[in-house]
Amino acid sequence: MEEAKQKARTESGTPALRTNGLCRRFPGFLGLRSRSALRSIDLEVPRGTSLGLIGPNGSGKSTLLRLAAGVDRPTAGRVEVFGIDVSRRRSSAARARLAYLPDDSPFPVELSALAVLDLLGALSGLARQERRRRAARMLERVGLTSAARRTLGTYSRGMLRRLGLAQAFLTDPDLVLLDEPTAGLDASGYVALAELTAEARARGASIVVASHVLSDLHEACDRLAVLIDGKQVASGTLAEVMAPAAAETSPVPGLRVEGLDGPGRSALALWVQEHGGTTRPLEADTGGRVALGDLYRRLAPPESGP
Amino acid sequence: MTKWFSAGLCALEFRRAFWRVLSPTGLLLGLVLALRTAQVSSLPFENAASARGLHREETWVAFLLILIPLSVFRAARIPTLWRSGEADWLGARPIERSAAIVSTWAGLALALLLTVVGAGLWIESEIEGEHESPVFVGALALPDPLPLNPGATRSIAIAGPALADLIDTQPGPAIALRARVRLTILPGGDPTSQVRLTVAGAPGSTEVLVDGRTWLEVDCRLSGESLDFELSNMGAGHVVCLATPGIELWQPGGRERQAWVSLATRACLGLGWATALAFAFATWIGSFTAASTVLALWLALLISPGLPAWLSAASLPRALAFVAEGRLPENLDGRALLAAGAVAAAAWALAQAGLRSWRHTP
Repeated sequence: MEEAKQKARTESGTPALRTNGLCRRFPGFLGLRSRSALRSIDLEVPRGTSLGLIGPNGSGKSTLLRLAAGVDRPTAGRVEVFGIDVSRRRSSAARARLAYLPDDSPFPVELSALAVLDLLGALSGLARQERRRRAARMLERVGLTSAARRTLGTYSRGMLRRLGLAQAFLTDPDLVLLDEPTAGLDASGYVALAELTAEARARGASIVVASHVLSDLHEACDRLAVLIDGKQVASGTLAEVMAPAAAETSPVPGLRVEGLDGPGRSALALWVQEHGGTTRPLEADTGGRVALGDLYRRLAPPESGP
Repeated sequence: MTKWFSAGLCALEFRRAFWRVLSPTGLLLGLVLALRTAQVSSLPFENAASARGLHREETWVAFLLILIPLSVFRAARIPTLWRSGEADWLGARPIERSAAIVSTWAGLALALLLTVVGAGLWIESEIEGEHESPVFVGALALPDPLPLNPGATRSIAIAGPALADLIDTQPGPAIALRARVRLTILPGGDPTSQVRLTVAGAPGSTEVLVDGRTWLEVDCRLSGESLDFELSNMGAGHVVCLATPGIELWQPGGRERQAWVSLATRACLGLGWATALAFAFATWIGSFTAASTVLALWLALLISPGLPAWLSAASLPRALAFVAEGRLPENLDGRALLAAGAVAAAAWALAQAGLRSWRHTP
């Protein structure tokens, strides 16, 4: 009855994810010198949209995703997943509709990839035949079919990340939480990730991606939220987030070069350096004027206590 | 959708625990059996059953000494593994915390059960021979240590509910029993004294020269609702006392090979609640501290005298002592199972509260 009520509420247009005044403090030794990982975060991810969380290391992105996934509990505030408050009680109904890719790969190393997906599928309530079918299909999608029966202890970091992707999309979730999804992925892994996220968006799923690499987000996300030191310092579309910083940036004389292959780029960079110039990679298509480091420096809140 | 038990989590922990526990215990057991079996078989014991009993007890003690800490530390390690990362895939799934806890513990318990049963069968297969062994019925406490001066006689009557608690006293065929008391001689004077134990109204009696601590045992038959004994200090030597405050009743007809079942049952029940407690404590304090606390608790139970038999860990030393004598401990009753189950259930509740949040660190 309660589940039915919850589902009815969730079908009435509530956002996929909403946080309200979300705080998380981690206690230090003997409960002293606690540290705030998140400070009063208000976010909303409407259904069928995607949100990118960006911020430097330690800004609270992973903590926010864990709170949304129900792995951690907030110190204060609320987290709602499809209208269900998951911050006070663990809701199976909410967790059945989401999937979470953690920033590392803590899967049981003694199991094979097939066995891991079988276990996770079973925990998600998939029937045996269904989870076997889906596991085989997902392993094929991420390019792990030939290694499906090898134990994870023999996997490289990139293979573990691919397995992480496979488990995240195994159940066709309505809300996908991806923490640093491109870390350790090679080119074909990027392609698999892009395809899986595109398919999820096409079927109406909501996606939250946390990364400190802007290029991971600017194509995949409708909106961005910038977290620095546990605070949400900006949010909006990519252009909106970048605009103030870009406007304040003095144009730097430079040259944008396109169409060169690897050796050509190396030779050009060498020539520029020999003539006293500098080269740097562009982090996003923002005219090359704004680097993320600049953005963080401009948006960083004034120094505050823990 | 709610899942209350996960066969997958159970199988995962079974797989993890089985080899981690089985490898060292199996190695040690093989070593003990290889060395001691050869030694025992070459000894010129007049009483082969006693020799086998001693061997059986020593092997079980060695086995349990390594199995118990390994199991408790393994149980305490699980919450640490979860908190250090595994919760990221476990906590995000639609499975209840209680189901994750119980399923994982069940996997560990199953691994321990198989290890203990396998060890018991292995020990019995190595210790050859079969002998009829008396089965412990129970012990009846006496109101005082019953000091016996030289030449004195004291009557011991066992009747009523105390006897009915131990054995069926309903009218029927007489039940053959053996009763025994352990006597000690008080220090000073002649260090020996002759003592006789007589069954009232029956021809059976036994005499023994008490020297230090000595068992005195007599055959008797229970045909009514009471058992009456007489204990006489026959010698002119010194004052004799009961070393343990009670008289033990034994029933013939047990088989020596049944000993492993009694020991395995006690070990499994004890390991069951101890691993559940270690798991629960580890959700609140570190795994090392949790495991050490549970081991200290178990040690306290092992060495504390007079604890009830339904505390499965507390009855283990006595059961081992009986097995060492070539005798069989009594079967554990339902209260032992209930007590272990109650402790385990309380531990699961404690663990669930400790895991309100799967993570404690960023």
